[in-house]
Amino acid sequence: MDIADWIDLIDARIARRPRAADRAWAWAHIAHLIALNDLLTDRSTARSAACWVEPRIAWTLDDLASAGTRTDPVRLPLVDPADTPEALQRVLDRLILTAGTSDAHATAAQADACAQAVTRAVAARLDYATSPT
Amino acid sequence: MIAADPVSAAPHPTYGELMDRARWHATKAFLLLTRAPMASEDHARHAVRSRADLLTGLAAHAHAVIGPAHLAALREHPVTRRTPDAVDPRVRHLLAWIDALTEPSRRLPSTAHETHDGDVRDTRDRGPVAEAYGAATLAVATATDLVATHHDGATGAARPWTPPQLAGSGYGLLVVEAARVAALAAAIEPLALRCREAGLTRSEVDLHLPLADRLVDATWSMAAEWGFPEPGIRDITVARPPIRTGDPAAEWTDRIRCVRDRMRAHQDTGHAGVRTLQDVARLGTVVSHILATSRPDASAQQSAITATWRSISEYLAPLRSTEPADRTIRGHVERMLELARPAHTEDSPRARDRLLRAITDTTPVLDECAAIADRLAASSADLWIPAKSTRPYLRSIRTSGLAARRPTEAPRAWPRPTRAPASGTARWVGLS
Repeated sequence: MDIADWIDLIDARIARRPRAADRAWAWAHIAHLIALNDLLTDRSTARSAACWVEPRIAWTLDDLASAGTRTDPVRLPLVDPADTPEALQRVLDRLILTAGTSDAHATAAQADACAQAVTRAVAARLDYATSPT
Repeated sequence: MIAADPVSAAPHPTYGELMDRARWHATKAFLLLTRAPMASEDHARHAVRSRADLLTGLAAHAHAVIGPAHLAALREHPVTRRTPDAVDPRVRHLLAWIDALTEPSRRLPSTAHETHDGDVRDTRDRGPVAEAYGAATLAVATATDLVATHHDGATGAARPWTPPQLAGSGYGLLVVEAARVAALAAAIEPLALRCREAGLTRSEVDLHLPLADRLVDATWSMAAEWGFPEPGIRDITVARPPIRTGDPAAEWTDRIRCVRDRMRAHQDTGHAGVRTLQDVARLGTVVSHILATSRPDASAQQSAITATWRSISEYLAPLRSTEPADRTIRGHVERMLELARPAHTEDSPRARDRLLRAITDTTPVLDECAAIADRLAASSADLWIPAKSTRPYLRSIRTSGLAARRPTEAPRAWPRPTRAPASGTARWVGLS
């Protein structure tokens, strides 16, 4: 499956969720799955730059859940391992975009968690793109 | 002969040691008063003032331990879950004791600003009794500062790194240690007698050490209500060692030691949540990545660290827990990731080199964390939640034509006879 189609398929599944915090949690969940899978696949060399992504996104998931976000995980379509870097960066872009969207119905805690999610996702994306592998 | 102060040489005294020191000096003052008269009127006046300062310091200690906001709430009598009814005899005795502690200082001006403010010690000859009371006051003030490092000054709440034995203890159990010091200085005798002997007028003695002083009764009532102090609180020391934040290498070293100390504390309790263990595993994964990509000369260390943390991460990955993460460890790990990311030291290659050297040098500390995490993960009671699958979890097995067969003949009894040896020279053994 093409990466663009893959992203559109996930986007269609996530866009049904009403709150921005729910959508941000879903994108973060996907980013975490990809990063964790990349880390666990890279067993011996430890050269995967996903180590900069997985912790920050895991903490983002915790923060959003602590802020009261309750939503189901998304079923993730299969992705070619060769496409993992591009897929992860695109998912992080969607996370930054979604978490940065203002939501009038969000609580103060959810707004803070979304702002923190943007900060962490930006740092994770930068480190993932620039870290030596 | 009074022995030397047994704990004065301790580099980082605990709360219990400081209060023991205060009690030791208060006992010394009491023994001096019982054994010999004071040399002059000035010595007597200094002794009276120093005793009042000690009692005021104990009242300030009680304020710090309980918290100003909590104490004000107790005095205003609101009844909530965290502020019990003030008519409770325990609370009433506690408040009466705190009020009685400050009464002597209200009768005369304090000398605290002359003796301890800004570490400027009084060089005048105040006499041994006043010196002993002053040393006890200093120890109590140090203990007050120690407790204050564990409490948020604005809200009075315990800080995240405060040990549970302090954060979860009732305030009454905390002030019992102070009451043990107060009991040694509460009695007006033999101080009143020695003051009269030294030449103070009777009216002066009656003013500062009145017969109607109720501090002894208040102290005993409070101690009888609250019982014995909490043993775990005596081991508390300053909240945390300072972290050098100027240099990334030094900050990394300090923080990884803090993580190690925190993991040791979890090891002592025998439990750490999955989220906490995952945070430590993330730190190990980042270190192995840095060693793999930036320190080719440390390949042996890298392969060992990678193998260790990979196995722990794989074990922890499917585990889920409702227990929150240790905020102290998470804060350290988050900051260490910020320090280690390439963008942080992009402009300073020298700082990057020092940081990489610090990361390599602190790998033994990380190895200890790995060993603790491995043990705690093995004893974890958290849940393993398998991922949902669209297919059946187990493959269905066709059983047609594969019915189990049971032999119709019974098996031969044990022990079974062995065959006779072929040659006649060997001795035949019936059973084996």
